[in-house]
Amino acid sequence: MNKHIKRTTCVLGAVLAVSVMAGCKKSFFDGTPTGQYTVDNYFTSAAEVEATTAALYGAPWYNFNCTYSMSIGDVYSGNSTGDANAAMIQYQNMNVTQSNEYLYKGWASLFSVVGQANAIINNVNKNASLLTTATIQTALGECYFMRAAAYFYLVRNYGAVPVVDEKANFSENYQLPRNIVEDVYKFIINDLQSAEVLLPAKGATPGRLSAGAAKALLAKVYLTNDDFASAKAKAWELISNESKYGYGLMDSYADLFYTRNNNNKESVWALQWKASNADGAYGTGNVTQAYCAPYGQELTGQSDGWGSFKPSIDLQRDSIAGDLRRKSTYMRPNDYYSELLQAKGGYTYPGCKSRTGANVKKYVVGNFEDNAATGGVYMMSTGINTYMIRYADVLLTYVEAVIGNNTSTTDATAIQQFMRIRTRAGLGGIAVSSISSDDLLRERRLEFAFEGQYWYDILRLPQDKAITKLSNIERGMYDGWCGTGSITSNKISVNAGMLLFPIPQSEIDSDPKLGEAPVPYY
Amino acid sequence: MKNYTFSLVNAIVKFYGIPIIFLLTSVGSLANNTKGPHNAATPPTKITGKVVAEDGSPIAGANIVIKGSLRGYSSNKLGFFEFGINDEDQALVITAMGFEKKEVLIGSQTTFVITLKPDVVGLDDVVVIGYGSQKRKDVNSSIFSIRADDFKNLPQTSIDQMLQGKASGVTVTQNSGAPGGGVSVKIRGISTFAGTEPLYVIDGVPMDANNNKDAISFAGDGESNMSALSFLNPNDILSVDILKDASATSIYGNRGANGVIIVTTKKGKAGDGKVTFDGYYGVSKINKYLDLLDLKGYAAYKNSIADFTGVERQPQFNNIDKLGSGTDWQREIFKPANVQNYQLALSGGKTGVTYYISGNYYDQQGIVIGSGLKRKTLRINLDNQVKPWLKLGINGSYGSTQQGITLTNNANNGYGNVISMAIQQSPDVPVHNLDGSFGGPSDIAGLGAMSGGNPVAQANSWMTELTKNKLQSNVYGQTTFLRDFTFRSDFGSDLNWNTGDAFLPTFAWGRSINSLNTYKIQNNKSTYWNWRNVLTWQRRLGKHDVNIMLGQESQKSEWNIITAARSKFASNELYSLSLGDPSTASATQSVGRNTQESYFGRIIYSFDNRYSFTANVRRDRTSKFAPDKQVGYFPGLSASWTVSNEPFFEGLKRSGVVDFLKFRGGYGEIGNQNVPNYVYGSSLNSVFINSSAFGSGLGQYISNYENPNVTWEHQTQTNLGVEIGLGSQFNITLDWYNKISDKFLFSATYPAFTGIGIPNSGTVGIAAPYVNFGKMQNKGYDISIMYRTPKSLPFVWKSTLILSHYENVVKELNSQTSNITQTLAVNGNPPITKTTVGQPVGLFYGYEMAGLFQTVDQLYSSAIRRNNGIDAKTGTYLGDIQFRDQDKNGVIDGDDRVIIGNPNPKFTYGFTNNFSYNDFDASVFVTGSYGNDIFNYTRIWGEAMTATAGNQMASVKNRWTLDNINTNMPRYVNGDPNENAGISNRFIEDGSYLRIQNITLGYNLSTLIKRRFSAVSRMRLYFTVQNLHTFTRYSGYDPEVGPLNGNVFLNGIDMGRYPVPRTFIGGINVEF
Repeated sequence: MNKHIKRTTCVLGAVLAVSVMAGCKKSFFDGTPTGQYTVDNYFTSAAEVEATTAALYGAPWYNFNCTYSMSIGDVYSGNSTGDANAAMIQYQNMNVTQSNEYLYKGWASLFSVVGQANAIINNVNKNASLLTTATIQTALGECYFMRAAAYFYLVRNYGAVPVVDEKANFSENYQLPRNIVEDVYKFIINDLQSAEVLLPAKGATPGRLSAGAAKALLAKVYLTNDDFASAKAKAWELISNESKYGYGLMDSYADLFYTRNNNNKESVWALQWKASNADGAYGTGNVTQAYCAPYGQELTGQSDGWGSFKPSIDLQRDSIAGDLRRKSTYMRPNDYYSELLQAKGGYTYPGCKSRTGANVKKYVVGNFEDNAATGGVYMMSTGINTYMIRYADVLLTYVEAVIGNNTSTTDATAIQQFMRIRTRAGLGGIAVSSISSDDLLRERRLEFAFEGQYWYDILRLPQDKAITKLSNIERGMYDGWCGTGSITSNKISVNAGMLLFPIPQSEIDSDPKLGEAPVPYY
Repeated sequence: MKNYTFSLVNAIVKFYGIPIIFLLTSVGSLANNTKGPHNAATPPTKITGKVVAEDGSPIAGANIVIKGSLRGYSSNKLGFFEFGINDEDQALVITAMGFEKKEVLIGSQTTFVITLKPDVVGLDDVVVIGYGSQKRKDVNSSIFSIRADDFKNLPQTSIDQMLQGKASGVTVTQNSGAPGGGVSVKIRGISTFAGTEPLYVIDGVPMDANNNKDAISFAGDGESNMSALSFLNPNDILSVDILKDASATSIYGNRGANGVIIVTTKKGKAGDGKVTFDGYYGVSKINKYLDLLDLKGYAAYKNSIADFTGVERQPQFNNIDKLGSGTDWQREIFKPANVQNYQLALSGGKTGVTYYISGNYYDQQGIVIGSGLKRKTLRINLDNQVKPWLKLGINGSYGSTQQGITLTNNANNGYGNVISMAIQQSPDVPVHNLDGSFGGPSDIAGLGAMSGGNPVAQANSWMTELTKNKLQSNVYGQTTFLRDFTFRSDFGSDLNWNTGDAFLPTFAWGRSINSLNTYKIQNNKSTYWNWRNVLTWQRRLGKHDVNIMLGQESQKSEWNIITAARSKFASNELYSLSLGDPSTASATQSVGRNTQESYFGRIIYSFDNRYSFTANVRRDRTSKFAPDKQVGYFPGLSASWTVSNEPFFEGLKRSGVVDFLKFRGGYGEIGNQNVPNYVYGSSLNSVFINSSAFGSGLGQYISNYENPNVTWEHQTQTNLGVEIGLGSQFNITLDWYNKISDKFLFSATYPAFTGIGIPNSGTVGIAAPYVNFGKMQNKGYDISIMYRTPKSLPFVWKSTLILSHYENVVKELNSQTSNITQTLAVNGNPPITKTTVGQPVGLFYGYEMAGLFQTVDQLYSSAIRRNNGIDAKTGTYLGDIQFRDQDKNGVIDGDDRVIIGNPNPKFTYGFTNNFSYNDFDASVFVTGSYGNDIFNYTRIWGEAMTATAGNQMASVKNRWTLDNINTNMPRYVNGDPNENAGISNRFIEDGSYLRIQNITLGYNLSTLIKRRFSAVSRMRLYFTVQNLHTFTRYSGYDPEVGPLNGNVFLNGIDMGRYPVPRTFIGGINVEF
């Protein structure tokens, strides 16, 4: 055999050997990502655990906050008109179809909260030896709270829904039936009772959930279930221990809606937002201003500010003369806001921007410069928190629990709490000797307008009363462009079927069991 | 030495090569045995000789076989041979690789000098198969080959577009007419639920063609997919071989499931150097506009809806007669555009070195203002015969493209993109104000700011640019040894540096205002290398041809994407990250990698040019799956029988009717691993959180459900083919195939309550796991008929007709659901397609329109939408669409939706004709599709009649009103309570079309020119019209609508696709 063949074989052998060796190393086939954590190498420190629970406070709620909450809480209930597009108009006309875009987005958003909470519950104990009990307990408490809160919206909006807990294994079966309403509520109450025990009395950092928040939500759940005694007791636990839980009313109503006052003492639970236009930041900011700021982009300085939600004529008619909340809630012509367009010396609402004569002010915070100190403002992204439970709500929950099945109350403690709200609104001078359920409803309407509450307040009324109330709401607008002229009336004749929303069509498409009768969970 | 050999053998044995090695050695020993026995009575006569090439250089390793026996010998490295012969030996047959076979009579001669002629194999005769090449007549699989000549006149940006209508079994749709826009290439139907694009192999280096969304922008992501092949200069391409059936593609194992397209670039030829120059220049124009309302029509429409909703008419529309025609937004955004292309190439070769060097400059403006592509490429292909036994070479290309992208088509949400905005913005909004600045919507005119405002302004001032730099190369060394062995080692690499730039300026276009400018940049660096080692043993023994190949391949791909942004720039003219407000700075990074190693082997055996047999197997191991699921095996088998080479066929052949007939059959199994990395485990994603409350500013959420069992997608395919040659004029190839794909690697379609959030919307959710499920069959046939006029005629007509048909049926889906519904990603709801067992994938799904409600009686006696009352404003009323109550339950609800259309064509076709007569040449190329439906989503915008603002199509003039009841266009109603504009067959249209894709006329000036300029050896001038006319009943811009963002479930949905323009071109080819 001649030399060059030997040489060739050598070279060939060497080449192949090197190439094969490159491939044979075990690490060569390791597919573990290097740019992100995996659940297998995570949950090893308090900071890591807290980063996962922190994510529960904002982004999963984005689509809930985006259009769903206000479309149901305020438009459907008659606080607001919503005529930006066909999806929104369906809420205004109380004819929400199964194909409604917002209905689906809200549903998906609430269940993504449930999904994240379940995932954390499943993984937080993975490296338990490296964590303190407090870290694990707080994380679990936050998850139980968030899951319960999401279900509380789901059960009120859709009735029977599938209960998805941390044990669900979707790789085997992703078609769940709906569970009966009582069991959904039982699940919610169980979760909140767990959270109440697991969470610290005050959140470790501002904005974090606490046992107080769990009690506040629990009180509302009891109230919704007509368990007035429990509701009253839970609310009173907080009212009688304000310093323990750190709650109180802000002195000025207007102060509630400045970004700089995020996580104030009145903020029992709020969605936490981060204004940003960075890559990957979609869904982490508060988008409400985009839909609420008056038509035209003067206020936001960006391509948003669509005036989609506008205070209804009905809401404006319900206002009380001298109420300080009105200007912070919505704008009427010649209202002046020094915090908006500061560079121009403030903003005066000009009118002729809305066919209801007004535009929403709540959560409208202005342009980038107005918010430079608090992280700026970007297109469809502001940094103001969304209140989910304000302490004022706890006070009025107490009052409502005291009224219970009666039509009114003269209970002194209840009146005292009621008056705290009224006094801050500048209406302390009007003496109140008794609070009727109608008074309370109106008070809640004025206090929480555009906070996504009114619909659920009406739902707590006896059904016949709720239907009458809804059927009388004026959903029309003025003929003229400046909120003048006659009103083209739009009143909807409401029936009991309209008090629940349909399950989104696409969900039934992928899980036909949702179309069947609900089954018990427990 | 020992060690190396050991590792070689060890490696081969370890990797499934045992049967092949066995065969190799047994065939090898068979060959060696032939050397021995000649125990004849008479002592043999010794003969000696030398085998040389025409230039006198010795040919080593030539086979010298005694005719009629199995005895064979070979020449040594100096070309000498020496052996004994018997008396009865008559002749020698000499063969050598790369040379023509020669027969020499022995006679009384004992010394021979045998000169072999180089084997000039015509290009048409060689087919590139995976890791090797083969003569066309020996090929056992279905492979379609296209030569440079077949697409030389097509003024297209990239090769994928050029394949349209050229190859049977290949369905090409341009997803966008934008320069360098996405192209969808499907080989033999839809074989998978994930990416359906084939694998491209460019000079041996594999490349995924998944059109990447490399661009970033501020206008939603839209269909910004760009062709991955736009970097490749089509002028550099010598041939394209399309491996269609699994017996051919299984050698590519896990990447062969969608077919393989092998691209070979030009090489130099020995001889004098050649310089060629090619250039063309042309103009493109849109050839169809949608019929939208002009200002008068719009004003009348607005007045009547004001009356309907009971609001004041807008005062400016009081006197319609005094209005002009307003802004025609379509004619403002579609403008004639230029295209130019220049290429200079040098090629040639001397004493063992051949070279091909080319440079190209290509500049195409898009017909939508602001869009365009510029490309510069440089290619160097060198081959060097260093030693008789050693060859080295390099193919390298550098390509740089720069694309201006005005986000145009398929915006998920219908606004923010230039074309849909032009359709929807009303004619009362001016393009420019009187002072020359851009106009925009006002409080009373035009679509709200939510819809962007001024498409012209946006196209001109929102900068969205994509720059790609790509260095692709392949270096090889090849050695021949031990007579019949060839070992070749290739190192291929593909390096990419891509930059996406987007700048959102400050502006004030009417009510559309932006006071915060932002600049965003994305750098995407990716590296890929691939090392292939292939050992081939090839031998011809009398009538037996054997070719055995063993190979090994390792590859690794890595990427690193960094995105950074800042806002608040002092000026719109000058922006760079460092000039933005530092407090707005942000940056993110994404990294990833995947690896693979493979072993493969193949045996090709042919007997007497009559029977041929191929068997191959590949073993792949990939990092995509969990450690115990990483390995897959992919075998392929094929055989052919060339009937026309049988003795009994001689008669037929001689009659001149049928002169070639061959039957082929093949079977193969292939895989697909087209999933994101690490779907077998669960990872966390970062999410921005409110740092004022939570310190770090960064949260983590669980991003996906894991599935440790996820593994190879699998496909089997059977192919039967026949090739017929009729009187040397007709060549007919028919192929029938049956492709069964199963165990799809697919993200399950979970309901949202599982926590998945809203898929594809970028919001937080736990993505559904990837699972292996389902089964799908594609059956079909590919036909190609080629004709050329007899060679004796001065007039040449070469024609190719291709016809492709596939029938796609879903056989199984997940055990849980028998269907997959697909929603247009961001709209959330409702589904637009449904895929069910027993039906093709991605059928349109919705309500069926039965007519309009014309009478009150009809309203009360018919099924209406659930929960709807009979009410003009909030319910169903006269003039609304009456949907068919499919389940006859007296109410219209989700259960009444049915299949309303099929986006799959019955067949697609292409007809290429090339004519030449003396110095004239001409070509006509027609292509089309038949029997597919299109969901015309642009009409959901244009004929919705549900909102008070925005323009509509002129067809809404014929809407139902009390005065116009004889129509099928429904009424106007705010909020659409009856879902007239929902998903129904109202928007389904026939998508069949026939397009005159290209007509070319050329004139060869060579003879004229040569007299005066002897340096010029050839010169040709030509004139081309591309996309001359489309015959179709489709009402949208262009019936060629591909899948939305490559999604097989969203095929044939027209969301304002960037239309393909008509282009007029004049060009020149010169050769020195």
